[in-house]
Amino acid sequence: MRSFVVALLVLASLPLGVSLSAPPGAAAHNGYAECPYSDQLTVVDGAIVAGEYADTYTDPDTGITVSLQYSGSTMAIGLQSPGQGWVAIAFSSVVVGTNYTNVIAAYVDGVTGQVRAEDEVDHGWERHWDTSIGGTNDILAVAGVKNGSGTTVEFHYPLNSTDRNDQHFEPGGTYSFAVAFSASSSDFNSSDSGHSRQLLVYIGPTPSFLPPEGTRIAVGVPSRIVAGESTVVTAVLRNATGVGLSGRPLTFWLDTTFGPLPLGNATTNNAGKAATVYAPRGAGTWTLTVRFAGQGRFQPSEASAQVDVQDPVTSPPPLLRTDTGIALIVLAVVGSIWLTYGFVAYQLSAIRAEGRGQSPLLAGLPRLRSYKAKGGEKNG
Amino acid sequence: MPETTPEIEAEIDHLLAPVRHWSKRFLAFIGCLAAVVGWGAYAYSVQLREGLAVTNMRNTVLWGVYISNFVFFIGISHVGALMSAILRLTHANWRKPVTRMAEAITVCSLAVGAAMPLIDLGRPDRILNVIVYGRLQSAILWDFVSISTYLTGSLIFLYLFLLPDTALLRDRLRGVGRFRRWLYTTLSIGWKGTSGQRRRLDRSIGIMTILILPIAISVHTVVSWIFAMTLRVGWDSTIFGPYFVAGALFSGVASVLMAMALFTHFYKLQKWITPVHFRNLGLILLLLDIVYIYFTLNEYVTVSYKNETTEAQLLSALYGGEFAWIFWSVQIGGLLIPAFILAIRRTRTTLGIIVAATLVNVTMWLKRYVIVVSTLATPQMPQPWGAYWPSWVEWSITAAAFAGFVLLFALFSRVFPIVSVWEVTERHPASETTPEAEAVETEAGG
Amino acid sequence: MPETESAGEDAQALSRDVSRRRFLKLIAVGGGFAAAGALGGKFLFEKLAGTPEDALNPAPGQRRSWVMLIDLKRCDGCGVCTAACRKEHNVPAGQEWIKVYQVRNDDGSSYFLPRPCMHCENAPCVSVCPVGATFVRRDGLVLVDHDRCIGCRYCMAACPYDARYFNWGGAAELTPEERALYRPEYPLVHRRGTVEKCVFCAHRADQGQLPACVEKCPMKAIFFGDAREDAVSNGTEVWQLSKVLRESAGFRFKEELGTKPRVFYLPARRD
Repeated sequence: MRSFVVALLVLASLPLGVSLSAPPGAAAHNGYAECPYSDQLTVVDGAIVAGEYADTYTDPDTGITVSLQYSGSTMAIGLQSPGQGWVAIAFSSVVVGTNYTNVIAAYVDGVTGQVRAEDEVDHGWERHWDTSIGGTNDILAVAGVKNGSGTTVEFHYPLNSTDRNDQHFEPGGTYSFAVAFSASSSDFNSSDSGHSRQLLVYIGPTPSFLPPEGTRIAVGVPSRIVAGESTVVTAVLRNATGVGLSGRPLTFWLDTTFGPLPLGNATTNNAGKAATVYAPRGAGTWTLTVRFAGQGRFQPSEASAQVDVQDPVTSPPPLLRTDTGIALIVLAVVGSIWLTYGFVAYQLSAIRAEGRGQSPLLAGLPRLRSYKAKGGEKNG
Repeated sequence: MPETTPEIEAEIDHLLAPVRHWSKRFLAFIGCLAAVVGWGAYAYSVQLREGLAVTNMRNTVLWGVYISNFVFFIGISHVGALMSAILRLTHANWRKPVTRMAEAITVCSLAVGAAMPLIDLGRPDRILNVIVYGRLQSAILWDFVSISTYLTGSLIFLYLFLLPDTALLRDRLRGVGRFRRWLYTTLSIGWKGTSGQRRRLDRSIGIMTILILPIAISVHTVVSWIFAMTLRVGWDSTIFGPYFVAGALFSGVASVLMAMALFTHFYKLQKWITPVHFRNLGLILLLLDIVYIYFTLNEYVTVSYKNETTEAQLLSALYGGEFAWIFWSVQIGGLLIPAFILAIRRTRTTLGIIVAATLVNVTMWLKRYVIVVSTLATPQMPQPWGAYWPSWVEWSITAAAFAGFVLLFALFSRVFPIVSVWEVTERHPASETTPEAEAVETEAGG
Repeated sequence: MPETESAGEDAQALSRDVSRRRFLKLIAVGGGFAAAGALGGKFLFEKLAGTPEDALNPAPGQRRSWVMLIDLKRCDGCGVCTAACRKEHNVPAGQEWIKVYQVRNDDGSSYFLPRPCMHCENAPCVSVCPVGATFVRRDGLVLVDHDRCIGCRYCMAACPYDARYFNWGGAAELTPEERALYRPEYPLVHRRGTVEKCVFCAHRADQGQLPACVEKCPMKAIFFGDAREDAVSNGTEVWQLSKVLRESAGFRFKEELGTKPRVFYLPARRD
């Protein structure tokens, strides 16, 4: 595999998913393979019949014939190698800039007919199964047949697996790949007997007359937040079968009195999830809506969720309101002044009573001490 | 009745003479005043019919001479508290011949002054809302409470000092009309001058003297706070309270001096209101002038020093702009010139003092006008200055306010003796408390 | 001379009469004080307990906090907002409830500043009203009850923005038909001797509509919304208020006075 690996290093230096300027469908496929759209997925039985795949490409260096097509979000790949050992196809990995390549290798056991296939990541001299480095074996189905003229392997592989160790393919994009085989070895670690140069595959566009596929959005909001704090609102965009759609733009909105307020845009990640920050200003029950505007054959969709926002806990109001206190003080002061007026008025009435020879109004009540002290003269 | 001598009887007769007989000249005088008041009433009826559009107040200068008059009249009402209360507490017995004048000025000016905001209202028919829906957070409510308390207190105060004289009038004035006889009888509430009654009167006077002072100070403080509780340039000042109280005392004393001059001349009261009284009040006026100059310097020097943007606009209008003529006539004619007249012994004659008092009174009205109008004319937003000159309705009502004030005062002086007879002729425990004071009073020719 | 003891029934009868009279007088005086005290207590209680304006506040579930945002970069001084407001409320001549000022910069350039009522959170006009005719609704709008206003114009003296206007002339009273049209949220009819101003088209906001000036502005410079939603709209765009204030250096007019106005401005010149 070592020379294969060197070739792969060259491969890995290309940026992810680079779309090169050569138009699709170039004559004679010189250096170009195509992976066109097909309505029907292939049957993975190890036998490739004419017309089974939408496109085939034979690498001149190795003689390996690569058959490619895709349906929905599944790629169908067929490899026919002249050797009796393993056969592998390699794409750049999503983890750009780390010289990792995504390798799918398969070996057909001539005796049992079983196929051993691996979804790997190769880096320099290292080789790792995806599963050993936190990824997943994303080969959906594999079958193979070996006879005297060579090995045939077919498998299904997702266009966009959730594994970041894998290449992601978009219709309309052009990607680099390479193929290699071993004449006799079943050990994926062994050197190859032949490998191709860097090749390119063009993923054909999805035809527009296809029936549109519906999408669903699932919105994730926190159950309870406090006004003034910021939180994250997530949304997952899925197709009709529940597969997350990556790389799609979603828009987030808040329902307000005078129209929808844009909260932000985000692009879905590999799992179809996008998120935006939401910082509510006031308490209440707010309705958040996430919208997908539609892309290609994927229908637009939207979903809403409600967020319950609480007021932040404030200190309890003071026991005595300030203006209440002021009012009480003012009324006490003013009240005492008017009571004093009342006292003077009483004095005047007493003067009048005395002038008429009567006793004052409150004569029966206990007297003020000072009166007695002053003159000792009684009124009344 | 205490014993009297023929001299005292002659004095009493002289003091009661204006009350006894109203000369034709006086009747003509009050006729003129009543005509002016009537004209003002007509102008107000026009205002009621057409709305405040007949004034020249507009959305920029939204208060004009009505509020200036309000502040002015409430201002001169302080003199009652000063004369009757402060001077009493300091045992200044020379005040006795003029206290009733001062108290009468207080009551009349409060009555006229309190009417001015009512005239200024857009919906005077809703005035009871102030009581029913009144908000204690508003300075207008503070004014309402304070002025009504002060008016009641001043009426009580005036009445207390009037009480023995009403008995005198009831006993001596038989020839006046039935209404006045009834008035004196009712008001005298059976005053016989017994020791018990005197004691009660002393007590009441003592209480009211102490009570009236904080009320009086609060009145002009809350009047100033109507302006100082806003965010307008020129009004947004922390010293408005004491500034207005000082200004009120200042113009109040000037008013008393003018009243003294007129009554002494027309009622021939030279025996009781002597050059000593003029001199004493003139010195008080000088002191208040200096205090007022101090406050004015505090206000304008600090603001001019900083010359903050919004204040600078107002200052330029006051110092050299459209309000400069009023501003400088107030400062020079109302503060500086009277100060010199009163300070220099040679000019501090009775005539000089009266001239100074007149200058002060006139310019203090101008000062209130400038305070109200110049601030409102200063633009708060990017727009031109507000323009204001009172309309004929406003001038008429202002003239009627002054005429009404003089009318009330003059009528009072003819219904009750303007010099407190019992205080200047009798010795009464309520009038002094120390033997030294008694000796002084005897010396002064009481 | 005080009457002291006397022998005889006459004196006793007289003193009984006198004491009866005295008792009645005492009752009368005491009753008067009690009544005054009760009135005063009622007055005090009402002042301390609550305001009658609660009747005009929206229901507790509808907690709103209206704000306005004006983009000075877009305003071209056309005055359509003033005209639209005048038409909406039949604003009397001489009053401009939303008024457009032209402000000159130091370098000679100028910009236009539309000034509606700021509906301040710390409104000086509400503080000084002696009768509570101007009040703050729970959603932050400062309104005027024209049945209660006595026309003292203290609120106008207190407002630092010149936002209030007085009816110097005009009709003194309303016909019954006009009376039926009047609400403080929708002062369509105007009375002489009272003060009025912009009400943020409270009658429209209550129904989820934008104010007249916002709808009619041809430059779409005026935005209106609920600060609790953090969203303002000019009829076509909805902006997130906090974000746009932060990014475009939004400010309030005369912020230093502490009135806490509800109208935000975006500067006329910004990159």
